[in-house]
Amino acid sequence: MPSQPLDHQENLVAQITRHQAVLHAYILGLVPNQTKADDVLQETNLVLWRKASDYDPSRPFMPWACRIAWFQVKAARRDAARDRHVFDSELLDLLAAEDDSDVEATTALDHALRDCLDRLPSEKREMILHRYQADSSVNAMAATRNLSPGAISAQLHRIRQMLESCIEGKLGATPS
Amino acid sequence: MNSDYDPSRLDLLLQHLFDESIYDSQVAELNAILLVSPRSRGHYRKSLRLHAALIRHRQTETSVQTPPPSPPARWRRVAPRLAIAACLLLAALYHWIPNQKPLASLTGTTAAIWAGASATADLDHPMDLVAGFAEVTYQNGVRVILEGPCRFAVTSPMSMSVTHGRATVKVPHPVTGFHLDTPAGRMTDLGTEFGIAVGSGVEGPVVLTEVFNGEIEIPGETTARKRLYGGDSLAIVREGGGTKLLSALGEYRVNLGDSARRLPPSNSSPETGNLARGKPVTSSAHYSMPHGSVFPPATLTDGRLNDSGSPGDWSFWLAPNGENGEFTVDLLDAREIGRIDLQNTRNRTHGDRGMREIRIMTSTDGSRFEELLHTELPWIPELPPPGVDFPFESLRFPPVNARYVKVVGISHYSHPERSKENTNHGGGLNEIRIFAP
Repeated sequence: MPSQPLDHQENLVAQITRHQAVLHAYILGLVPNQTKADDVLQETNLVLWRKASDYDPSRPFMPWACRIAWFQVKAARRDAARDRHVFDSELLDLLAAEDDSDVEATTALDHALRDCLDRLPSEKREMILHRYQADSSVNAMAATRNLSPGAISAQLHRIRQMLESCIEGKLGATPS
Repeated sequence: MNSDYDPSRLDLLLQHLFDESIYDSQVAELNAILLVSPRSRGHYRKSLRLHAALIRHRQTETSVQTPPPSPPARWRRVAPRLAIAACLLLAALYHWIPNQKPLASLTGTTAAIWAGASATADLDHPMDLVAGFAEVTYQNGVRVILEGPCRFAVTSPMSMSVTHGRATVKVPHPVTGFHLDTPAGRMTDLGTEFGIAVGSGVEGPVVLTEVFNGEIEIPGETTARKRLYGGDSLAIVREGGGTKLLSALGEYRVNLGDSARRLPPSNSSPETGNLARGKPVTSSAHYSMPHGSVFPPATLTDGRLNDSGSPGDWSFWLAPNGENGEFTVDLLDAREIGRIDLQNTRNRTHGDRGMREIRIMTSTDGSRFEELLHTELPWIPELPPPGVDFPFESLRFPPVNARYVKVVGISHYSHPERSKENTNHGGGLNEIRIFAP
């Protein structure tokens, strides 16, 4: 555990906690698989904590955290070299370089999503929330509802579009 | 419509991506589209952020509204990520608030020898347990038994890093999600008791793992994660940038049945006055196979007993297949000796190796040897419980002056139920101790 002054550690913990959502979005954008992204986020958090002595509180936290998250993404790809990666290296570099994740925008998006979910018809709200439950899958939902996976996927897509439209209305822009 | 931006097609691909039903051909198409089209990448980011927000919403809902007393499977998967900030806060608070209970405590040791300063309540920095056993108990009741040599650190209320050596974990109901981080990846508990032996081969880390009860998740070979269930055992081998999962190393099935699952009682044999301890040992050959299955003669005088250790760092010497084996201890000075203690091996849980009939010879110059003894070592039929020493054969003789002590195998033990055609046998020995009269 780093030996740092109390306020330095306190500040770092607060920053890590505050940036969990935006770090999650950043990592998921590069590793679009929920489980893998969760693992990378966990590793990133641990490395951020271990590198506390490198953190300069006078500088923005997010670029430093994203750089560490980026290395963790690459490390995870190396560790799982035999796995199929969604994005090839060139595209991954591009996506990382163009990322403009922002903690305020992410927080606003989370709040807007909550409101928009409340506005959905109950069966649609239930369906999209069901999809995002852990261990849920389109195939399992299809089996339960006696529909084809393609039909379920299409319905989910329409619900996401409704949510996007609602969020744009609330934020006055795209959910970014 | 811009020729490289087709929102409908992109939406369809993203729909399959987010629903984890995307085909390889569609992945390739998505890569091609995103690579050439900044507008498509913007579209991707926008959709992805909603997808990410929905994942976070689910996690928040789960944690805030329904933290179940007995976590179901869905909670187990999301808990680690949500818990991390809390873990960090707890870890930090432990240092800030005097008298705050530590994340985990050292709750017992048996014959423990620590490198440097002795163990303290601060287990959150790397600890080197050189020998013996230690029990670490977390505040949530998770109990880890560590066997030296072992290097470990408590990294959070729900994790430990083990970079070398053996550990067994028992996670009480209803705790789940506890994990061990090793150089070969993360072992995540899903409600269970399991053991690991962290070591290395020539090319990289080798971690043996066995589930005693319940189930765990380990790094996968072709998938990100793989589940192991009670009775399963595998070696996780990192080499060439990838992960290999092997059920056997060489001819031997992975087996951690000899791991300590509770803190053993103290029962170590005294070795006061052992002239051989740490002295160089030479042998014409030793058993050596990939992935850390290496058993060099230096282990004969290292003070480590009972077929313990981990890949690349086993405590016993084995002769190559089919050979009785021989080795020579150099005491560095000619000494008067009157007793030799030998601890045989049974090759851990496998019970198929060990010296039987032996000759012991001595020399003062390393070239002219005279026979001192001709005897037979007993077989170790049953694996003693962890912490209980394998028997020593103590050989006393009239004092002789010797610098070199050579042990020559004439025959060896092999597994009683294996056919004679099976070449998987040979001599071996765990430890030699040499004493003055």
